[in-house]
Amino acid sequence: MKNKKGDFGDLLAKNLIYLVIAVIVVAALMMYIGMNANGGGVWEDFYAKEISGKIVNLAVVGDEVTLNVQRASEIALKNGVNKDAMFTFDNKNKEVCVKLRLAGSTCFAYVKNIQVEKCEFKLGLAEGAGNTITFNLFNSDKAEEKVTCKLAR
Amino acid sequence: MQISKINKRGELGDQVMLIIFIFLLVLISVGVVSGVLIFFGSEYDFRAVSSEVLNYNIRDCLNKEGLDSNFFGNLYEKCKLNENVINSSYIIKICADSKDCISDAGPKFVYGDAVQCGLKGGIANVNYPRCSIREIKVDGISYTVIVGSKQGRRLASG
Repeated sequence: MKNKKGDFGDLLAKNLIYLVIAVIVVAALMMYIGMNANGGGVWEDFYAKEISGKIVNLAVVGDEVTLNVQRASEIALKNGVNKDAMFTFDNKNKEVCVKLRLAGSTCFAYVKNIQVEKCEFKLGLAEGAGNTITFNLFNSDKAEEKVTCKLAR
Repeated sequence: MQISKINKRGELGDQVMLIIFIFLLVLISVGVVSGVLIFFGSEYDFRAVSSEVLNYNIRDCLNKEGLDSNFFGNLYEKCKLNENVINSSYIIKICADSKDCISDAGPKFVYGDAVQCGLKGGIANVNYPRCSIREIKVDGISYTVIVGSKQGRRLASG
């Protein structure tokens, strides 16, 4: 019995380096897959292009847009992204940036010379209501350089 | 003497095993990362939609703004278009009463190489722009508007 225990101890000691390396690599891979599994990058790309290409590019000065972003906000909150940092309109470079993961964000430029102001992120508190963002489009030189959709309080 | 030789061989064998083990882990990691990148990394192709939207914006502007003598010279300003974005990612060609706008030598407005929009091989090749070719009649003149889009996303670090 003692010999067997000694053999196992020896075996463990000899292979400890293999075990440690294997555990580190497997943990790193699991973290990497976990970070990508909810498709944060894919949905960022989708929302940035849909908002920029189909909403801002087709909007007219004076429009107020309310958009359901339930899916995006679910992913962002699951990934630990700040509620005030998910959607940003860059009035200087004319692009919308969507951040649904901690590492980086995706931006897409709009072809229209238009500015965005007063963007609000609202939680859909009523049953069946989704989380939304609401923003106004206007044309002015006094626009803020960057407009972030902040949580309505 | 013989024993020490055997030991040395044994130690060398252990190190070789470690290298093989690390090599296998690297191989598995590369496989997993490649799989994730192939599955999640490809871009949502929005070029066809963005070319249609810009084409619509130009036709709408042609229709609403009225064609004065300087309209095409100030197209970006008249139609409130973002010149920087268009110059970096789009092709625009506008012809009046033209049967073949793609090869028309005297267009009303041109930016970029619209020939790319006429190549049949370009449809299957993802590296070619996605194009939209539409017509509109303004004041009795038929305008052909060609828009090609190569616009992609920008990945930001913050």
